[in-house]
Amino acid sequence: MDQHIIPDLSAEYVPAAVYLDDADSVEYVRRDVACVYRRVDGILTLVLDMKTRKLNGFRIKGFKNFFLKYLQPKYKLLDDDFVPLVSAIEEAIQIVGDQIMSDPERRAAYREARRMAHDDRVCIEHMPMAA
Amino acid sequence: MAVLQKAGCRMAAKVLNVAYKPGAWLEFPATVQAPSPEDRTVECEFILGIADSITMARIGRRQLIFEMWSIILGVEPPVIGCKHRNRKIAGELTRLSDAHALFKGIQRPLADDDDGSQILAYVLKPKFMYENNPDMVSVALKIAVPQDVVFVVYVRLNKASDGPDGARGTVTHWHFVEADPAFPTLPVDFSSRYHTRLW
Repeated sequence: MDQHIIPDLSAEYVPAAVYLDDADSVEYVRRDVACVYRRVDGILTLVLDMKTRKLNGFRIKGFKNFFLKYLQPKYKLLDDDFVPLVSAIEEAIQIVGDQIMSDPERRAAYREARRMAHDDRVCIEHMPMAA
Repeated sequence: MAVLQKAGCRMAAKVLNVAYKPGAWLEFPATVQAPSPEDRTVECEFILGIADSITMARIGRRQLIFEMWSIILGVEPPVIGCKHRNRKIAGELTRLSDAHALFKGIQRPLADDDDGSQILAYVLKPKFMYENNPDMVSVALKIAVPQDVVFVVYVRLNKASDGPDGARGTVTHWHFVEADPAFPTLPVDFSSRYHTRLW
């Protein structure tokens, strides 16, 4: 790694939602602690604090396809635009739509993720690039 | 005065076991060994995907990187003071070669793989790990892993083999998941979560 861009180990984590290329997911956590990932479905995974098992964040999976197919056309996004995380989770809710209505646990999971995204008002950094 | 300062720094370095340079925690090995999908007694090699680790490091997230060092690579995170802070905490670390189960197919898209059919999921049951826990000595603390979780490492297989000596895929991501209550060494809902169990 270039010496000039080595992240400082003393720097504190400032909560941010980032697109992770290799995992093809957007992930957001409030605190940088050990976590347990609880799969909700093929799109959403809740991230729980390992010690308390309380919600610490969430992951939207298969995000590249989701972004290029739904988010980018809908919001007419340019390369430098920021996407609010709450818009992404609301779009995911639109896609799963009826399926979560009949499943209380899934519905609750999406509701929790949406509430966190809304309350924390974060934008997604480092969006996926088209192939 | 300067001589005294230098001596003080040397002493502090010795006490804190400052053997690592500042960026060492992000200098990952290029590849990692794992039991091969076809035969767990034979090892194969995967590329260690580092792009996401660098992305996380840039926003100040260290936990998943420490998990990679201490559970996938089986060594303490190379950060200042780690050895000194944790010198009294016994307990062996695991590495990817210690995986006890392997599934194939994650039943969801991952990048260009529409159904995740070319994704492997290695399952480990680590007893110890390092967590991001900054104090005056080090940012890494060795802790016991709860019994009700397992650790899963995902690998995206190459579309075509690079030959007998080439890496067969890329480690893309990893995390803890809850263990299945009936099969505590496997992920919860493993039968519906993955397509096939290879071993």
